[in-house]
Parts: sequence; C-alpha cells; structure tokens
Amino acid sequence: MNQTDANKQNSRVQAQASPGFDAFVEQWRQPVVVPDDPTFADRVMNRINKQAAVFSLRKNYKWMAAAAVVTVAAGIGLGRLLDGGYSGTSDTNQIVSAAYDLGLSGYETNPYEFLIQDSNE
Amino acid sequence: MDKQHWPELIKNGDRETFRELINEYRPLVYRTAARFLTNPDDCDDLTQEVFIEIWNSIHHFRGEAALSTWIYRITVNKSLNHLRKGKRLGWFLSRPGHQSDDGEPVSGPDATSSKLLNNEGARLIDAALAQLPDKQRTAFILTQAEGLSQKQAAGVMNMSESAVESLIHRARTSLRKKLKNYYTN
Repeated sequence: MNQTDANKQNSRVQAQASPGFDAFVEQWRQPVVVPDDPTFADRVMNRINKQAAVFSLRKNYKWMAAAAVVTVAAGIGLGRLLDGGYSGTSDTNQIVSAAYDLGLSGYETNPYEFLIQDSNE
Repeated sequence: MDKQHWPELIKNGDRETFRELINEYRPLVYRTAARFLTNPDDCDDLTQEVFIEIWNSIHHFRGEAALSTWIYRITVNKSLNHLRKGKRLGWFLSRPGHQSDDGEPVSGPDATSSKLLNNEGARLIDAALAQLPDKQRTAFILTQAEGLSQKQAAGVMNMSESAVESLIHRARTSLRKKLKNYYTN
C-alpha cells in the first residue's frame, strides 16, 4: 500500500470510528502522572558505582585467571623439556618416525646417537 | 550546560552531567514504560534499568538521531523484553489484557495509567492494547500517547514512516474491533 492509500484508509477508519471509541482513546491519552522521586538519580548512581566495582573485580579475576593459565602452560612445557620429550613436528621426531619405518628400533629416543656411535667405532 | 554536549561528557565519565540527564529524561522514560507495564514498581525498576543501560552504552550513541529518540528506543526495547520474560507471571495473567473465556478483555484493577486516569475508557484501551502485536502497540503508544510524529516514531522503531503509518492504522482497527461491545455507534 502506498502512502496516499494509507492516508485515505486512515481517514476512512477515523471517520467510521464512533465518538465513543475516540472518547476512549482521548481518555487513555491523558498523561501518566510521574511520581516525585528526589532520590531516583542517587539510586541509579549507586547501582552504577556498584556495577563499576564488580566490573573492576571481574577484570582482576580475568587477569589472574589468564596468568594462571600461562603459568600452567609454561610449567607443562618446561616439564616436557626437562623430561627430554619431543614435540610433534620437530625434525627429531620425523627422524624417529623414519627410523621406525626402516626397522631401526632402539634409536627412537635419539637417532643421532646411532650415527655418533657409528663414527666413533 | 548545552544538552548537545551531554553525550560526549558522559562518554568521558562525567557523572554530574549524567545526573542531569537522569533528571531531565526520567519523566519521558517512566511515562513510556507505564504505557507498557501496569505495575508501578516494575515501571520504577525499568526506569532505573534504562538509565543504567544508557550509562553502559553511551559510547554506541553516535548522535545521528536525537538523544530522546535513542532513549525512547532503549525504553521500548526494555519494556517489551520485560513483558516477554514474563518476570511476574502471576501479575501478568491477572492484568487487564488477559482475556476471559469469551475472548473479551478483562478489566483489571491494577493498571498504573488507568488507575491514575481513573476512567473506564482508558482502562479498556489499555486492556485491548496489551493484546496487540508489539510493533502495533509500540507505534500506537508512541504516536497517540507520547505525541511523537510518525517520522519520530519511525526513528525510534527503526522503520520507514509508511510502515509506522500502516501499524497505527492496523492498531486502531484492531482496537475498534476488540472494543466494539463497549461503545455505542
């Protein structure tokens, strides 16, 4: 429906509306009385202040949680290093895999050891 | 202090300016909320929530629309969300808009605006309005009660003017239909 049609239809509906209906709308249209509340702004500001305090606490918790995660991750990494473990994609690891494929068992922990021993002999 | 600068000042954390904004716009927010909610305590709570939302999201206000348009939008959204959540289900079921078995609106005694106006016509319109779809109800309230132009209501509702015009027309037609037994032709 274009705007002109809507206007026409609006006028038609309003013309058809009985005085009773329009009177109802008029009564309903009377302004709502807003109660006086001198402390309203204070209450809102108090809630905002509390919210800010909680937010700041949450922010601190977030930092602490992040620091804890980093510490644990670093600990795990360090632990693996000290254990002499190897991570998935290192060259050493690939050589170990190749050694397995070739049936050169016994050298999986350090494939270079075989070469070193060999050259010493 | 010029109101045009309020948003920028509040964005910078100026609490005194925000207090001025609260005092300035509290009647607008309360009045609008009272057209949707019928419990005075709910209106007061919602008015507080609206201002907290304004404080929290003032950085989203870019000044493309009037500040009052933005505040109306927040108030309408919060009011509709409040109704949707049905926080006070018991009260909601006994409100004026709740239908009786024969499908006619029940006149409830607890409508804020109706109570303040203390007249039957207002109470019936309130009851029938509560049964309308959200958009029709919002368009009708903003233009007929708050006196916004269709253009302003369109800004609040983020719709075209013609869409708002159509919503108002549909709302009027529905109201007349729902209340046909209550007025004389």
